[in-house]
Amino acid sequence: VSAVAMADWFRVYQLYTDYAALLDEQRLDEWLGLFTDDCLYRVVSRENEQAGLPLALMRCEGLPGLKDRVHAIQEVSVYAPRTMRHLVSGLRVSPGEQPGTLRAQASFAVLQSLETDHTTVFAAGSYTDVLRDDGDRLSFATKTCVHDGSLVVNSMVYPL
Amino acid sequence: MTEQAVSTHPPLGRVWPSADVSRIPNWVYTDEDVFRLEQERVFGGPFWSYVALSAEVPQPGDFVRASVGNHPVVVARTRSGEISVVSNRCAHRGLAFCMQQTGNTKTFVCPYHQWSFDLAGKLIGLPFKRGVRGNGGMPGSFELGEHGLNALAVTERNGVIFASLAKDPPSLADSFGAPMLRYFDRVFDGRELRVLGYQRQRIPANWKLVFENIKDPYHASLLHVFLVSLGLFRADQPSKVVMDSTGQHAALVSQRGQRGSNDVTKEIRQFDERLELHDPNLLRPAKEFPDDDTVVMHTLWPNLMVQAQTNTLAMRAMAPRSAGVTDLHWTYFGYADDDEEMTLRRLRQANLQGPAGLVGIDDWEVLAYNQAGLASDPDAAGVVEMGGLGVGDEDHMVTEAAIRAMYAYYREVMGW
Repeated sequence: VSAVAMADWFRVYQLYTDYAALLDEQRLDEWLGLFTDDCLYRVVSRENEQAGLPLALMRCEGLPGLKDRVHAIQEVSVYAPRTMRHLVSGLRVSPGEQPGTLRAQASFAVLQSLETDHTTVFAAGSYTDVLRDDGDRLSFATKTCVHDGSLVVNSMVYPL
Repeated sequence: MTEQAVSTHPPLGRVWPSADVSRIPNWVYTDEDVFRLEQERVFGGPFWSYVALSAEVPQPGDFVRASVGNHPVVVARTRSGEISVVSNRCAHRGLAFCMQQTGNTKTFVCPYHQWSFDLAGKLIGLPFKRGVRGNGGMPGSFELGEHGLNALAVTERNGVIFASLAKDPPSLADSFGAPMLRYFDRVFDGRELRVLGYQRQRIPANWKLVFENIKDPYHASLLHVFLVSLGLFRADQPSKVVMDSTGQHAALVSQRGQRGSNDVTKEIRQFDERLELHDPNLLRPAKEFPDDDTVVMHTLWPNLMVQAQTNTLAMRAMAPRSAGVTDLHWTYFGYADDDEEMTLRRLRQANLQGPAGLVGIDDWEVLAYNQAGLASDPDAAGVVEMGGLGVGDEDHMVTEAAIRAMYAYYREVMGW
């Protein structure tokens, strides 16, 4: 049972749908628009999370940090072309600790399709996020993507 | 160079395609028989494999899993405070009994038939040893003392634990040699270490490709646009390649250089002089060692790479799984006396490395394609002549000397 109104749950659901679609369509500049200016985006392993260890796989501080990551993906890094597919489910929303915020959790699975190979499961895990609610716009203030698997499948090019 | 190496009975009937090491045959990376022989001669040989940091097992009873080659082991601190490394293989039916990556326990108990061992690997008991109501039980000839876990040779230097499957490996100091010990002790100077976290990945490439990558400054000055464009690693900055007398170990050492274009960057196809960080905090280095070196990438035969890239310190330990698959385990650390700012600096700079590294991604992708190309023709050979044919130290990074030196040693160890 969600502790927020169904209308708010749907607004959050829409945010996660946009998040997945913009990533999968590689519209990363638009994807940046889903975050607050001072956001903290992290991909962490479940192992580190459970052990209370601070190391992340990706750690982007604020929109500038996210822009550096996006620029590297678009212009700098060398990698084989691929299509990623995010499946997000199990969305739960509750009121945030600060006024004007919501807490949201969801599960994700990410499939990877390399050009010369069949589709494989790249990652599974959970999102634990804080959203800022400005009334007309919801955005990610903190986004923590917990990567369940012990091993990353070679390289993690795109955010989870 | 094209002359065949002379050997009457080369292992696996394979013949090295050149007398020197300017050629590396593709089959060393792709042949599963070679992989099996390496488990015996390289990872089972008289060498020290890195298994853990002492800081991971601070208390008696603490344990952590690790690998020596593709051989699973458990590293533990015994009740008396000693470090023991035992095979993760029950002495009874061979189960990999340790199901947790890390933990604390008084005894190792195999879940299958509950044989229990102390943390040094000694068998201390098993259920129904004397049978049940007169039935069954072990024969009178069964001695607990003869059925312990396989215990490996162990050594520790300044908080870093190594193990060997060989009975009497030479001392770590002799194995490393003075020049390599100097670089090792630069990072591991006796200060207490603090683990910041782990990253783990499965790379679809042979372990030697992963190892060579860190012995190859030539690629780093070209492939890694991020490093080159930001002036972190450039072919025109002060740098050197230092090895031990056998060539099994190496250190790539360099000092942060300038940004901007010149005659050197003209030859780098993807050099981007406009590359600017939106978040400059990502790379705000702090000098922390007495020398002026900003990058020391240290390869220690047979499984360890110690990374000191600006302020990111990490162990990269290889667990080879098959000829074409290598698991790479990263342990990032700092020092127990780091302040919050230094810890944050290490965590931020870690963005460059690892499976999702802004620089690292280039390597993992290239290694996968390297393996794919090699597998398409195992009898072809690669050309390793950058910087000449020598296998000695160099004071620049336009060289593959450390790769050649490793293969000179590899040929000796493997019998080619």
